[in-house]
Amino acid sequence: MRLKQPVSRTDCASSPKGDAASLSLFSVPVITRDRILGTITLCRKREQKDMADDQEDRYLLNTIATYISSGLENALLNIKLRDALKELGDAQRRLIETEKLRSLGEMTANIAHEIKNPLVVIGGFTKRLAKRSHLDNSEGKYVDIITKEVARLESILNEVLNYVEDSSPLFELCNINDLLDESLYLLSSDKGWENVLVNKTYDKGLPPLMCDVQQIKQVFINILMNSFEAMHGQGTIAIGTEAATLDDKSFVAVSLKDTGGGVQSSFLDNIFNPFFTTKDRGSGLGLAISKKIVTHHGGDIEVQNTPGEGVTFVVYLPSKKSDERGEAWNR
Amino acid sequence: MEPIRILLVDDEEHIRLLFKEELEEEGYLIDLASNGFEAIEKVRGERFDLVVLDIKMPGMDGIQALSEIKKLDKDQPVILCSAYGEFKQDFSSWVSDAYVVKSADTRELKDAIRRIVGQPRPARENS
Repeated sequence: MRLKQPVSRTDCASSPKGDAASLSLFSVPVITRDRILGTITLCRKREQKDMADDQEDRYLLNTIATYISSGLENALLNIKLRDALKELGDAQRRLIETEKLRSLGEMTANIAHEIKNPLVVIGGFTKRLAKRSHLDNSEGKYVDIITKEVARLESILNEVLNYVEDSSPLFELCNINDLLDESLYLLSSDKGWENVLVNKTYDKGLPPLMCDVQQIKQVFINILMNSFEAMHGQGTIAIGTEAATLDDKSFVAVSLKDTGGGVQSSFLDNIFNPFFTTKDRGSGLGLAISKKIVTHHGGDIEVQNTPGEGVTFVVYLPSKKSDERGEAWNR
Repeated sequence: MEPIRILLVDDEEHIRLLFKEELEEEGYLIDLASNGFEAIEKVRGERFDLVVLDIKMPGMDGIQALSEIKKLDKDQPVILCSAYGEFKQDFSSWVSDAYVVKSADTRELKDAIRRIVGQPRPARENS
């Protein structure tokens, strides 16, 4: 049977009852793609016609085995085909998603351009109107509101354009701990940050990074602002740095953990999508821009969500191997 | 004292009007052009202390106009004034003397102009 050939035997065994009535049997393998899935065996008592002589039945059994083999093979192929189709469908959906985002990006850039000039005109002439008319208190307030809203729209449009238009990073060697401290310093002068406790656990022996300092600072500021808003300006942010290895490559992992109560799990999939926001006044671009910057650096951002507690963002940035410059770097 | 003459180039009529009024109020003398070709014609024919160039314009854009103007006179001061900062990385924009992002708040534009050509005589009162 190991040779994948039918086997025919006569007088091969005694019956289970122990009587001497010997049997004749014929066994055919059920084979799919060189693999034996099983056998079909036909046994006959001695008084029946010996299988070895029964050409017709052996032919029938061979035919049945062949049909079963090809049926099983088809079934197996079908399963594989279904899996492949599913994979293809997933890939296609991802592709459509990417394409959709790209064309959305182009459309957004065009709209942002078209809107900017009229906006400048509206805001500019509102200011001129205010300058040249004698406005009472409430009229002055209305003008103020228009001016402020125009300024807000302008800044949203600038963010949109920053997101959709690629700006290539300017790489330089830097120390991630210093970079985090500078980002924190920039934020600390903002209103409300005095109620936020920052716990730092830095690995001081980390290798240096090649990165665009301004862009990576922007990433940390975006994440920290996000945490600040999630915590309504009050809570603890734990920041840690450590070396990490992913797929045999060296990274520096920066974790930023807040006590903002976490996000609804259903929001997690969208958290890095442009224009996705749960805030009243956000542009929904902060985290999207951050993800894009980090991806351009060859890194990644992960989110760990603990509903009721908080969110941890882990930013992975590729680093030089620790034995290259690490020692020298740490002065 | 000679007035400070500025050529303002923008394809949008209302932007031209806004910046013209704002800058005239500062005491500058403003001439207008609505595209790159017109701007080059004007620079060929007259002397301007400064050219303020929009970038996205039909026909000849601001970057091309900038290089043509600098070919005519490499010392001609030019400010690029665009809706966004995306051309800041364009090498050809680097020959301009300043790059200002258009805004309803015209202070940045005025600061850049003052830096390059100075403050004109005391601002004229508009009636």
